Amino acid sequence: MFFWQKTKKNAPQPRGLDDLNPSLEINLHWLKADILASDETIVYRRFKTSGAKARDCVLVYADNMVKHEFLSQFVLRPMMQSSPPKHLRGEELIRYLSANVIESDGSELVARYGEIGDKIMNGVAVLLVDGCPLGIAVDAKGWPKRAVTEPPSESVVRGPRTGFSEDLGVNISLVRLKLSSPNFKTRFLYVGTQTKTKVAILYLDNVTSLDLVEEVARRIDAIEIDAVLDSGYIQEMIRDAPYSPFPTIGHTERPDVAAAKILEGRVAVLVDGSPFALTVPYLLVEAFQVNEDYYNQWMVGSFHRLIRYISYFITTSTPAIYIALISYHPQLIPTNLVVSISASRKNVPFPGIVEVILMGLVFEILREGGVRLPRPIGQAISIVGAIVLGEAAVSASLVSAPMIIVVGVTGVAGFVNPALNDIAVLIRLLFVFLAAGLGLYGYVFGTIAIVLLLSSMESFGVPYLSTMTTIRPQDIKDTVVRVPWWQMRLRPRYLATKDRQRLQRRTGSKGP
Amino acid sequence: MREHVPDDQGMILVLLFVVGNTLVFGLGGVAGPDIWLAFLTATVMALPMILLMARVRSLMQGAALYSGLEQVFGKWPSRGLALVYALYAWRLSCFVVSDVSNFVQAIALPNTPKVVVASILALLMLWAAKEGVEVLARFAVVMSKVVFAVLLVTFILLLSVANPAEFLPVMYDGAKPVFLGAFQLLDFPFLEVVVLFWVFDCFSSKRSPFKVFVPGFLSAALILLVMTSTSLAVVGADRYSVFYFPIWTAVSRINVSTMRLEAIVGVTFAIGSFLKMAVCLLAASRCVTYAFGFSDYRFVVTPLALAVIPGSQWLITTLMEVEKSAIKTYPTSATIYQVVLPVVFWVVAEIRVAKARHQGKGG
Amino acid sequence: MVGLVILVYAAVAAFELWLWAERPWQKVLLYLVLFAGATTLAVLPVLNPDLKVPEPLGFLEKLLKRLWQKGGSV
Repeated sequence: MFFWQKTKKNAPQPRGLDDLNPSLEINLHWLKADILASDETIVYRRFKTSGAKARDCVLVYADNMVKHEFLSQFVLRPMMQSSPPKHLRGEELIRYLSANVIESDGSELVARYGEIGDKIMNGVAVLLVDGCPLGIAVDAKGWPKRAVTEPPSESVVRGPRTGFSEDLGVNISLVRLKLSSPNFKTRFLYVGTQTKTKVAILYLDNVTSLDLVEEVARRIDAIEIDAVLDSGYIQEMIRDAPYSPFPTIGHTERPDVAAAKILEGRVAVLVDGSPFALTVPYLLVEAFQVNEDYYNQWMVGSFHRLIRYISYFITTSTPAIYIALISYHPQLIPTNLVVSISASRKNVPFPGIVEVILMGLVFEILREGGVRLPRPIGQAISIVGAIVLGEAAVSASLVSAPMIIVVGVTGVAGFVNPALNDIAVLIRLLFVFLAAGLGLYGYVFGTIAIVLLLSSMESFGVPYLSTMTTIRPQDIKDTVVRVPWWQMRLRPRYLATKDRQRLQRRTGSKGP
Repeated sequence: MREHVPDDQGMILVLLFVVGNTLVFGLGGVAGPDIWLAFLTATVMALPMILLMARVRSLMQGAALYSGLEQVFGKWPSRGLALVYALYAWRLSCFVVSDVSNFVQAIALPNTPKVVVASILALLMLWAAKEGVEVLARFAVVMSKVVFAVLLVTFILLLSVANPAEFLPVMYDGAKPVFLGAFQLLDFPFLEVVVLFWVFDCFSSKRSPFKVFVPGFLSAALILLVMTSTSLAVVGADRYSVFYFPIWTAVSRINVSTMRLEAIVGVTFAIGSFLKMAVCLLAASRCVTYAFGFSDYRFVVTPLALAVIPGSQWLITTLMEVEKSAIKTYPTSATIYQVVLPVVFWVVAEIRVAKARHQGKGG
Repeated sequence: MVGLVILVYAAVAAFELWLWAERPWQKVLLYLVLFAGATTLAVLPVLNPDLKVPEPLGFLEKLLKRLWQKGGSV
């Protein structure tokens, strides 16, 4: 339901689609009584032009949504000082004022009440002149903005320090600064029947397939929601595999990451008011890729990436494998270890699975408690949790000491991959139950199920596991390891459908 | 909807299908120390059949399976053939499920009823078959990396305890045991590849069937040759044919500081077998639906998968029968499914295609 | 036990049929026939644990054996 259609119910005549009246007083009446009714932040600044035939004018804007100095200096002052020729009437007068008097770079003519309402809500001032059935919309947007700072969720040691803010225009220019090429395209859409939030689709038109761009636009257009307050809304409304816990749309707070993804042939979606850019299609490997992998020396980057894969294996599987081994396959553990484990489990009254679930739950509670608290208190909680509770639990024989190690390692390894950490908890639980029931083979069946789920998923027409389901050398250069830049001559086959050349031949020969 | 599997993924699917549930069994035990000769013979003998299959698929000129079949074999004969192979594929699926549930019970879970494991497997393969061949191929590639890694590590470790003298003397009993072993290998697992004929819907090009079937089969044969020969060299030729799971036993001889590795081999066995049973179920569903003239196969997957649970428990009940069925009862029916029918099919297809081409030229 | 097995199978069949978007009778028929087969297969071994496995190709095997007599390797 559109803004002006909502007022339709109260007013007998639809004002929103009506053209403006030549009479200033009638226009003001309808604005005050209908379109902008009961809104006390709206300012109606009345003034007159100078000269022999002074005309009545009103500047309408929403308080604190505009740059007040700008309006006084470049709209009000020149208007008051101007003296338009006497013979000008109606539309001619408006065109004259817009062309010769108003000193603003962004101004356009508006003809309908509804348009005026929308513009004013978005920080545009509208100038109405008596005798003219048109108004001049002057772009004077100016509301409090956050500075461009380093994003807290994705901090780096090596790499650019800029992050997106809440302003769409600023965000687009941040990406454009990275990709200053005429092939970089943006397209705007408006989502939300109440908010009409501006959404921008960013892509490189010589790399990205236009089908993908159209598909993204189509899905965003199809969204029927009243408000979009963050890109998270759009993320959930346009994703593939809605019942799978794995993310099929990426998000980043960093312009350099967004630019890198666009360069690989992805499409970025920016939403006004959200510092998170969405990138599609999203593949599972991306959860293990971090921008620093590409900025650091390639061997170091590859090592870090390997650590991330290993950590994810540890965080999802350690408790399950531990349970399977101690309850079904003790012969697979080295003998002395079996002895020490069973010694430490001697006084514990619970079976392994109860221990794992108990300690896992405690860990998750501590984590959740720590996240939302102010940093100093959060630290105190983790110290209490880790040292006091853990130590006490062991000496009280509630849990065994190896279990503390298992849960601790599991939890810490989870933080290595923040993008998949929430899902890791679910996978871990599934594995633990299967392992408790069927031992190592239960764990294998769980793995089979997870891999099947991942194999069946797609993100915007691209298989979710794309780079993992191939044995072609070129396609696996940026997966578990990152090969040197001079080796990555081509863009990923699954994403960049048009221009695959990333490196020109002659620069490519620099390598050893 | 045409389901299209890229060549490299198809190749891995073939490879894992053949290696699949074979990994722990004592294959070709009859051949004794000449097991490697039996493998080579079987590979050479199976290769023409594999080439024949690829040839028939390439005769279909890149058409999807059903329309291609009717093009080269006629409508009603193809449907009859499909019905026959539906039974074969479904029964193979039962065998694999029973292999795994028997193995798991024998190795790890002596107190858990086999039906439990079989039911879990049936549910998983039901899901997998419903997802279709594209997903199965992707699954195969992801899992193959785990399988290859495990096999490589166990192979290297097995080498340290292997005794090459076990292979001597060569051909002590003459050629007969070699051929007996080779025939066993042909039936299980080499020529079971015929099931895959019904699984791939369409290929990228006319040459793709060759690129998928031949390298996939050859590398699978190589992996099996290496793994079984090394295990035989570890456990010894005499005991190789006595154990139910010789490779498993061989791996359990490896001691890495009192830690044992055989469970990992069991894991790869479970993964490979799962792939094989899912592929068989998919093939069975496709054959049944095609035989009755439907183009969509997904709706019969559930009943067929649920029939596999009792089927796997009933057709083969004990481990000893697994052994027996894997070696003895296959041949007669297997010859028909794996050799006679494909050859007939191939000959008819060649004649029909040549005729069509001739007519095309004449007209 | 038998009743339970039948109940479970019937429940699964009903549930899946309910999930279908459309139910052309040919499909439903084939589906139900296969499901009946699966249920029979599940019930038979429960009723009679010693039931023998049918060998539809048994006669062929005998034929081949007679043909091969001594050369029959299998």
